Amino acid sequence: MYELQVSQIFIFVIVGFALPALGMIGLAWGLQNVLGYHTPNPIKNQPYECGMKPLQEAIVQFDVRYYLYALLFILFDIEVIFIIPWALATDNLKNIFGQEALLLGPLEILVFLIILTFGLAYAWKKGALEWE
Amino acid sequence: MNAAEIYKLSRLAIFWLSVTFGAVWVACWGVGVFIPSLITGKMPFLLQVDNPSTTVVFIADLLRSLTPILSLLVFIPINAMFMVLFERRSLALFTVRMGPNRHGFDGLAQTAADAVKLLFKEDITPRGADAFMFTLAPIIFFAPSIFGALPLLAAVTNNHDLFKVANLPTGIFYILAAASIPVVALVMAGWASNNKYSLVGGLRSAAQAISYEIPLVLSLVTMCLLAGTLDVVEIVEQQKGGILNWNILGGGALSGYDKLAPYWLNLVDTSFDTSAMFGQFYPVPWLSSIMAFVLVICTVLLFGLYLTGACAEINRIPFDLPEAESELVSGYNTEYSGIKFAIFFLAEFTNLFVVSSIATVMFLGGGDNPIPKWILDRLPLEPISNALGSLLSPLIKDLMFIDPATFWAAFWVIVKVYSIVFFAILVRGTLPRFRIDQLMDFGWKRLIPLALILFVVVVFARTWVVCHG
Repeated sequence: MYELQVSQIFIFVIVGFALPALGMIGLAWGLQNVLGYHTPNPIKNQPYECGMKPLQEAIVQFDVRYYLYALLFILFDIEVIFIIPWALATDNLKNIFGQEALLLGPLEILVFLIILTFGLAYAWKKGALEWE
Repeated sequence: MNAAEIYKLSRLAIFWLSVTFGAVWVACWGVGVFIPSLITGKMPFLLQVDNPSTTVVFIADLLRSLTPILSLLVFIPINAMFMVLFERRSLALFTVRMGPNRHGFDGLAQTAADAVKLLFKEDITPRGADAFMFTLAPIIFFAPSIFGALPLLAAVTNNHDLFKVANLPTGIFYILAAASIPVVALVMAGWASNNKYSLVGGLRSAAQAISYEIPLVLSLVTMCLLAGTLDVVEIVEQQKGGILNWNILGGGALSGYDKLAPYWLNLVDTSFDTSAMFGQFYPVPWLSSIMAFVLVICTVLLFGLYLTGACAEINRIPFDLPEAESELVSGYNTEYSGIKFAIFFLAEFTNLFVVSSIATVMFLGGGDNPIPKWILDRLPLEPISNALGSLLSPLIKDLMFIDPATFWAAFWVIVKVYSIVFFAILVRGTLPRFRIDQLMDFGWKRLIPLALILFVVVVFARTWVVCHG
């Protein structure tokens, strides 16, 4: 079952990438080269900056303002990855005596989320969520 | 609004959707049914072979298993063409303009003409651009909308035999994983263009996508918690039986058809007769009714949360900062022309469609008829369906010509998906654009706390309903 699923995903991804790639190659280098013009010149190939001559290259070091957001995003994304198996298993949880314990799962995830919310509140208070 | 324009718009929609589905059906039937049965000698009235060779059987199976991908390949371009036209005409309707109405009959062929025009354009790679990345970006942007949408196919076609291949037991997880890929392509496109506008557009899109992915994913995970599974086909199966059983209304918590209890009792059987259970209208104490009501409010809010997150994820107005044309010319695709631009454009509309399909499957019951079964039973539909069924059944049996259940599932899915698409267009016609700091504040300080609160409330309300419902 598991192996089947993994191979299925693998095939999906390969096919999903292969088809637009082939389409691109067919259309962009095949059809468009035949149908479209191809008369490049230095002025035309300039990066577009509303008519002005570009002052410098755009591929430079750039101040990314949101790496704190990115760190928080990783935190919350991992949280979601933890929640998914919990959500599927919560109804079958048993307590240490082997009895059905319906409230066990919800209480556990509540503790987990409270700890996480403290993290978010701390980041909020420290000003990590302000866009400068 | 102008009634004549609305009439014209619906005429266009009916025409284009018929063309789309006709093409998809011809492709699916041809490759999935006709050619395999022909070469293995199983086609009635035609060549009969008793013992087809192993190679021929293998080729037939291969063709059959390729049908889902083929149907998407036929569906996506034609459908995107219609969506572009639909969006332009609807926007014209909202802003009291004519919209494109020249090419073809009443603007019918406008997007086809656009596509041909883009083919004739020069393919420019700007000076100093990273040519490889520049070409790779549209491919990576477009690919997830093909392979990410595949599991949905099984869900929206009522788990038809030909589309069963596309189903995955971890459907939602896989779809979410695929949905987070396009942002990489946007950053690539922005960086590789050697253009400052593109660079800023790409970076903005990354910031926006990581902020709005969390509420989006949390709302879907909450729905998975309600359903108890990640399998999209099973989620659709559970919601059968009219609008009261859909996940947007608590997944049957209101109708007394409690799909949660069987899961708790490990009696997973998704084929109960909901009409029988409807008679005993929620035989629970008053607190359980309140809890069920809370559940319903939460799921409606989660639907709104999902739509907001999805709008931001696919860069629709009011969250279209990566391509804000008043600030960034066209954002990450400023430098793209010709077929590469066309692929970006195609993928954007396909993403809108995929996102609406996920909403349909997770919240609106997939291909389920909105009318509850106990009303349907009272309508005099049986003679009509019997007559149609007796007319079609020899064809179904012998030629696998058409499957009525799949047809109606596809019909309702299209109605629901296009309602959501129309809503997205309405939002585009109504709301102004966010500023970037407002956008980040709205995501992190409003939506994420709301998603967490809704998650906790749903967890406890659901447990109460499971215990005492």
